[in-house]
Amino acid sequence: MKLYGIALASLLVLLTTSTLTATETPVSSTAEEIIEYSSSSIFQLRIIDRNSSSKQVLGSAFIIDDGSLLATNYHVVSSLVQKPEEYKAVITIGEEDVEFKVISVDVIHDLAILESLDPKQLSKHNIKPLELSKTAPHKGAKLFAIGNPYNIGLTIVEGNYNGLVDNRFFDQIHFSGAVNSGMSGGPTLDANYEVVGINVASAGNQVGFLVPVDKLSTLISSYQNGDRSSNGFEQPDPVNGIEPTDLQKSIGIQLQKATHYMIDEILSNPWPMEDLNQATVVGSVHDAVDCWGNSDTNNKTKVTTINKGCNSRDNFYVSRSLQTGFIEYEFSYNEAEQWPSFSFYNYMQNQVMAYPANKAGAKDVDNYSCTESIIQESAQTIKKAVVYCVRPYILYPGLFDSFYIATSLDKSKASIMEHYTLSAVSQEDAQRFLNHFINQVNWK
Amino acid sequence: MIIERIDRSGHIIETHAYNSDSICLGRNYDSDLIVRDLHVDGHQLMIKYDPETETYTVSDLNSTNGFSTHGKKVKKYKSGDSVQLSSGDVFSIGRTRFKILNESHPIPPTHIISWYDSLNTILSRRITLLAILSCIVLINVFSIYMDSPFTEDLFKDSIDIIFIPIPALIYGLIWVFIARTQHMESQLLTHISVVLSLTLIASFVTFLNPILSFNMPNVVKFLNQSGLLGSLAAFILIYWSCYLSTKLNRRRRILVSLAIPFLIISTLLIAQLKGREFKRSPEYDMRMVSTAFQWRESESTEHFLSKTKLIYKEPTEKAVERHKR
Repeated sequence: MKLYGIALASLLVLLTTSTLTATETPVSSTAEEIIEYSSSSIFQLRIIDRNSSSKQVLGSAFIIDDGSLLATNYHVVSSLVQKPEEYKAVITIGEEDVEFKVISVDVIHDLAILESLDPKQLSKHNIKPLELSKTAPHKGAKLFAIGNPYNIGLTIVEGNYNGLVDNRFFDQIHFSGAVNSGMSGGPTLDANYEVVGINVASAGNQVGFLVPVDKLSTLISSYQNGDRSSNGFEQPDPVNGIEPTDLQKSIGIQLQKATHYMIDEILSNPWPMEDLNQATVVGSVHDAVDCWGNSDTNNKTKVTTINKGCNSRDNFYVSRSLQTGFIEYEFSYNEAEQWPSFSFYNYMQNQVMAYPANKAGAKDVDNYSCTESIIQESAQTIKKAVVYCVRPYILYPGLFDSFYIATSLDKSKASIMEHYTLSAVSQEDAQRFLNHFINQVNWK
Repeated sequence: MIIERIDRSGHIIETHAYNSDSICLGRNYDSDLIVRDLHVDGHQLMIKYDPETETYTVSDLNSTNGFSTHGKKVKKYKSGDSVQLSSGDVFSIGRTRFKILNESHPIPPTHIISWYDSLNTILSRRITLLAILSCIVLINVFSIYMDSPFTEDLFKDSIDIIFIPIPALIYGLIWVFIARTQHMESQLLTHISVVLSLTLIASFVTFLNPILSFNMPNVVKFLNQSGLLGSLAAFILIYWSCYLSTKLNRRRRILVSLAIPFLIISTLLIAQLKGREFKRSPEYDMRMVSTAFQWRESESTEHFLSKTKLIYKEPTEKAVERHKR
């Protein structure tokens, strides 16, 4: 699921030229009215590399508020936020190119608002802003997703509102319509010509995802109120002459707030324990955490393996190299009754491995530092080898990825491996989770 | 009168003893010492011993090239010259060197046959080589079996063992060749046995590695990172071969043997100084060994948790540099 999310995000950013279903579906009269009403407010947003003067990303965007602001997805403008000196954001109004700058972002819900570099240039075009809906649509309501796929022109897709996606930490609307590549950042309107969501992702045929419009309203009002307070969340000063921009600082705080909220939620309920053969392990710790499992007995090697893995479905796209915010944990039970114990442990030593679930590049994070030990509370409890590693974020000081792996040592021909990854968490949240997790797994 | 033919570095090639006090050196077959050197005349040199002064008078017999003495400085003598030498002096005719000695000349102390000489004798036997080889095969097959008892590839994996003696053979041949250049006799089997003994020890250590690294993680980590074990093995191997195949004295042998360990350790040091490259995954060793071999003390969860707090660090300068690039 998480891989799917990454693939999806990169797909949308890469803007593959896929066939537009919109041109194939018969356009209803309402759709005609909608497009006529809104087409002058919706633009193709081009992120242009200043050095090569060529397009790096194409997305959609629409004019809101008093006609001076442009709304889109954060992932469309992420390169501009990360490297403001290398990129520019441009829309074409009539024959004229108008350049925009990013003024506020919500990396968790994937939203950004932009402002023209030259407000007079924009205001003389007198573009009608789209109204943001204040109420959620009824389930089944007809919605129209509009966007500007690459080199094809304005496209309208009719679909239905299916409520919020089940089991997420952060809300998304499930829209039963094809949100195509390049429509990212475009609005989805209801029959009242009001924006109810912002196109963000798709999960294949007729399954689209929208950001609920109230997230955009919140972003705008907090920007206009000058409210950049971090609700008690702070990031330490960055080191060694790195100077994050205000936007980058706000991303750091948003990530920290989001993972803090997720860990709070997860730790607020008692964790369900489930059997994994001779061991008891952690089940789904939250509605937003999904678990999968499989088992296998290899007839040749005579090893039985039972795996169980759980992960949160939310993930935050920060840049092409950094996708974060995942929480995932897994367990693997291995048993080899017919093996000599010495061999079983030799074999397990090579089998026991885990990799961090989130994607982070050399420019985003430092290497992991690890500590390891053999722990056992008392003769009655499980004895295990544990390794715990963390790596700091470079641009977002105070944020870490944490990595835990442990494996039991006390049964002669069976062992249970446990592993988890947290990403973009503060030290405090990482330790809270570790303190709780480390005591969970035990023998029946 | 004793005359020794020696080489440029002073090593003795042959020794001749004479009862008479006067001998003649030359290429002719009627010479007392026949010198097979085309730069030497039929009758080149006459040496006469004077028992009263215990000196030797060396006279040239009108030769083509004359002769030289090799004291602190080389001195050339022309045809017909003569000079007085004493026991232990070195002279040369043509391109051949000789040392002249009397019967009472002191000899170096007798070397004791050391344990490693007797060890080398044992190692030079075919039966020893066979025993070492069998042990290597046994321990490797056993560890392959122990790594995966139900594998169908036991035979396939074991077949690689037959390649182990090949490098040992090449290594042995190189040193036998070196020995030849040094006018030394050195047995191929001994060299091969030395290499294989070290291979056997290495296989054994590898087999025990899970136990060692579980119980002494820091020691094993240090040994791995410093390259100390490999360096030690290389040192022993080369020292041993130098001992068998060259006439180097102990100090020189140590110097020569330090070359490879120096290379290993300096390479690792340079790598350490450069710092770690970016790795997407954490670098850790999950150390496991069966319950019977777990001698390391376990600690409380609380103690481990207090250790985990210490690993949260700011990004290193190197990472920051990477970010700015």
